[in-house]
Amino acid sequence: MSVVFRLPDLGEGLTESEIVSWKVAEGDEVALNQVIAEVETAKAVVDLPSPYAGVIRRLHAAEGDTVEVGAPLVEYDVEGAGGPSAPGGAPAPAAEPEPAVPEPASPEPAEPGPAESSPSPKEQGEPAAERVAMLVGSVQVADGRRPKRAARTFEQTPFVRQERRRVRAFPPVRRLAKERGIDLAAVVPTGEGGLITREDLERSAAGPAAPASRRERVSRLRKQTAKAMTAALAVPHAACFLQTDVTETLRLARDPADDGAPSPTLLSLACRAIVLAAKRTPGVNATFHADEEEIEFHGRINLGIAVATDRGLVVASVDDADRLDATELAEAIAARAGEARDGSIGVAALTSSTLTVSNVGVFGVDGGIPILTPGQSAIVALGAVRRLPWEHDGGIALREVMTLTVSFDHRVIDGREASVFLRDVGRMLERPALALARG
Amino acid sequence: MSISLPVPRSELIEGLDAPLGVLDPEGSRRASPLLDESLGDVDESVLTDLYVDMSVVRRVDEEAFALTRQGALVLWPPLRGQEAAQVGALRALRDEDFVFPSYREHALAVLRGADLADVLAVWKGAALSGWDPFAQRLAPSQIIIGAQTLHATGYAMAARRDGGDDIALACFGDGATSEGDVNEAMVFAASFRAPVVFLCQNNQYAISEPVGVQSRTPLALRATGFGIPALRVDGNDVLAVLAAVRIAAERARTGGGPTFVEAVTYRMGPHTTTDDPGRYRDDAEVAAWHAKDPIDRLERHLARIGAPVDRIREEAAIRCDAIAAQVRAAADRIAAPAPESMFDHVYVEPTRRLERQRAQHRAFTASVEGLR
Amino acid sequence: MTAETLTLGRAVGRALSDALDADPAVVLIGEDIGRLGGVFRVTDGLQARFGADRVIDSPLAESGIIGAAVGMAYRGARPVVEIQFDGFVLPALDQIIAQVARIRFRTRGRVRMPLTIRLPYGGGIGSVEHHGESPEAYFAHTPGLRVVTAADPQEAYSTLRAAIASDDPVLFLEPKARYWTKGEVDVAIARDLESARLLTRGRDVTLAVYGPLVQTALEAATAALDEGIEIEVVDLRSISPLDVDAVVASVERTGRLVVAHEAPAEASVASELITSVVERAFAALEAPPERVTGYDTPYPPSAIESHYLPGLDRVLDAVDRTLGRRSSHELLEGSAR
Repeated sequence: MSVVFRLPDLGEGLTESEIVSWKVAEGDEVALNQVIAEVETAKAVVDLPSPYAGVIRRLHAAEGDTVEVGAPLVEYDVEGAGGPSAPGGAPAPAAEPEPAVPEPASPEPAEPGPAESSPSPKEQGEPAAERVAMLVGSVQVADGRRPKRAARTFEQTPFVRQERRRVRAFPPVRRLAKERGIDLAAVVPTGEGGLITREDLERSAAGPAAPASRRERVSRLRKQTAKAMTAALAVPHAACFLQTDVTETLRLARDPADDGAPSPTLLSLACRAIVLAAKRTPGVNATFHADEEEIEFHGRINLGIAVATDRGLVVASVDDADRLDATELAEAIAARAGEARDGSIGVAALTSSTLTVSNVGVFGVDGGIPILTPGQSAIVALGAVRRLPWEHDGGIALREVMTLTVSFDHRVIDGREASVFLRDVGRMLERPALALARG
Repeated sequence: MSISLPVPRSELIEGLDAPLGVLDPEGSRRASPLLDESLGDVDESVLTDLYVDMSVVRRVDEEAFALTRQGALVLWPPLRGQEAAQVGALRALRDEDFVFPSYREHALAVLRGADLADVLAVWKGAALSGWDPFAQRLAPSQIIIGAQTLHATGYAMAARRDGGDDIALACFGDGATSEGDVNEAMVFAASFRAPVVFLCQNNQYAISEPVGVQSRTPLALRATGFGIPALRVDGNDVLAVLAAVRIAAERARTGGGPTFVEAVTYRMGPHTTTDDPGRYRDDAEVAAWHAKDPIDRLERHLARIGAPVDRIREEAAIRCDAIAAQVRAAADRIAAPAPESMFDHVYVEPTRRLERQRAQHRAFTASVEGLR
Repeated sequence: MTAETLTLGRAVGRALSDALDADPAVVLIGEDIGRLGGVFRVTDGLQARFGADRVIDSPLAESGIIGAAVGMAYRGARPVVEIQFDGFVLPALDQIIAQVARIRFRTRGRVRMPLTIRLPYGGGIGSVEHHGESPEAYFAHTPGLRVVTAADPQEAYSTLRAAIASDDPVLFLEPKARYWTKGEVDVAIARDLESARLLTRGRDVTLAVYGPLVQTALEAATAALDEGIEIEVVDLRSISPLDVDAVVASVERTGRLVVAHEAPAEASVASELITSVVERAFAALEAPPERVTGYDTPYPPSAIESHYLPGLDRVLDAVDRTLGRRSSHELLEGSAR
């Protein structure tokens, strides 16, 4: 029968040895204790005496090779039920009533287990040592074997991490909360360092169970928006309002021209007015460069349209908006808004705007004080159209009225310029024919 | 003006200039009056027994060494070259005398009749001690260098107090004589006139350090500084050791107190199977001591006195082959202790803490698949 | 910065060599360190390079080694001594505890003891009695003595250099089971003697370890990911003083603590660390801290040492308990819970 002699630990925790020379060859008959090899460990050069009498069937390493402890070294053909002793790795003869001592421990990860040694990477064709990614850094896994936990004899439930804020409370309070089904994260702590005291717990238990707060992870877009908004508020904002009678402009949007061309929308007409007015008040289409102490008046007018998407607010740019008429603007705005909503919008279109319009009117409010898009000097909010009693032709009539708001960078322009700009826009929306006259 | 002090010589030591001996390496018997007095009974039969004893002991040692290289034992400290020192000493004692060995006194364990599995168990990592100390009158192997000498002295103190006839033998090496314990043992032994024999096998090395690192004088001379008489003998001469320990034992038994016997010998092999002596000593030195081999010289002596050496050698070989097989079988027979046994015998009765840990260990073992 | 791949043992040797080079006051004393190069070959080649009066083969007397080193320090030397095995340090306890650790205190700082005592320790190498012990608690209980250890070759190199350079006496524990582990060593990297290091970040439990169990802890952390459990592994590095701040900061994040070491549990480093953490982070703990240690028995025969030493599975069993999951304690009989 065939037995395998595996390389033993030759010296108190050594992990490998080098075969200096073989004293036998495959096919040789060897006697018990006959020296079969000379090996070198980190500590000593030693002779290896044969643990069996028999014929060498196979030598598992060549001279010069480094062999790991526990790896097969020599395969023998022996007679009968194995040699008189069972050295490292070979199972004890079946007749023995007591189990043989497991082979001397080698410095592998100390996983308790049965006596047979695991196959070494040399046998398996040496997989490269695995790096296992951890949260920070990584673990070099020895011998290419990923550490695994032994199976348990009892049923284990899957680990579910409870996502909740860390709270500070002493064990009796924690136990009490658990008993009463109170979520400690919802309790207001009054102790030092945010400690939830027993009284805090009693207080929260006294009234109706406080509704639990809910926490939501912030999306990447919202994070960016938050960042941008926070940065933007460093800029000194001021704002002007103007209520405008847009009845005439609305008529343009509602009554199509009789040549079959598509109609502009109220939004696009307003944008057209804004663009025209911006040409006349370049300060609303500028950037304040604080470091260089310069104001850059942009050559192009790239109109940013604020679009609400599922993920949050984006500003999509219609570049060179001044070159488009109201109808073309309507198409461009619709296209951009569609791209923004379905996520196909390009990075350039998200960053190239020089002046922003925010149509808050679609949400039913009159206006707001919008926050500047970073790098811009003005943002215009268009409110909802309201049917209001208004002064008209010397009397009171129900007119379509919209509030315009411009929020501006006070380092670039002041209230006067902003007002001039807004008044310019309002005038065009009151009397659209003025745009025809003035361009 | 320089003051020169004479080098102190002690009247308490014999063999200071040259170790005493009766058998030289070529096997000739020389006269040594002090030793000869205690060798009157030595005839061919005694010599043959000593020869067989040493041969068997050597063979056990060789087999255990090979088993370690083959992974069946975890470690083995070979005694090759020291057979005469150990066999001669043991054969000088009575069965009731208690021996406190170091970790290299395999000969004493074998000749005191310890089960071979018990002798090997410690070196297989299966136990911290093997034989029953009171059955073999032999303390467990001691790995802490020199600690056993104090134990031997204490045993002897108790024997003296009881008026008993038994004495103690402490076995240790040249390196051990530097340890505080060994020196303290001699202080106590001298002070209490304890019936203890200090047998120092000076095998010339403490791992890699030659004995000169431990001492600048012969080791036996240092004992005399404590007031302990010393005999310095050729440790490769089994008759010299036999005689010296007989003398020391007799002195101890008759109220004469301790004796220090230095057996000058050589550690032919490595310190243990993990050592590499080629790093610190050269082949020429080893070869020189090989020529002084204790078994060879006794064989030559037997030839000189006309004993039937070939037959004796053959009989010894048969005994050796038999015991070699027994050693291998014994190594196989050694069972790993049940893991829970580590909670036993920490105290007379286990503490509650230990019982809890035992239960936790049992539960853990039961909780993991495939764990024995 | 060039890095070499060295075993932990060779990294120690390299640190000794560099220290001998850098400071002529450095002298090594130990049994078999010179001609033999040490029983683990750690000091291989040093005597040939630096001479027998700087790399000294000592008589076989541990108390003598430490006591003589004390005297040499009085004379201006910076001794780095080796005790050959953990189990052999015991005769030297008197000199270490009553002298080395106290002389600065006794002389109000006039006499300094810049000794480094190197001690291979720890089990798992399949050896005989007294060759697998972890005696660090005796020394952690000794004021005036710093006790540090290293988990990998870089740590071994840098921490030993720091220990030698320190004017405090330092006991440097070398995990012998890891002597043959290889790793990158950059000699330019410096380490201190006090701070723990965070090896992995995890949300669920803090696992504080040192020396030979650092590798076990990292393997446990890897295996735990299979179950979605994130373990934050802290290598304590310094046993005395303990970097309690680092462990407390981690426990404030995770709420759970497991401490693991080979030494037995009673009056141990784990006892000390857990007490300190409970004192400071009582309110952050969501579960009782766990210790995974050697049992309170003498070190067992090496044939069964794997049952005694904390392994990956026993560590994760304790982790499960802190997470409120089922563990081996389900199988405990009766009052033993």
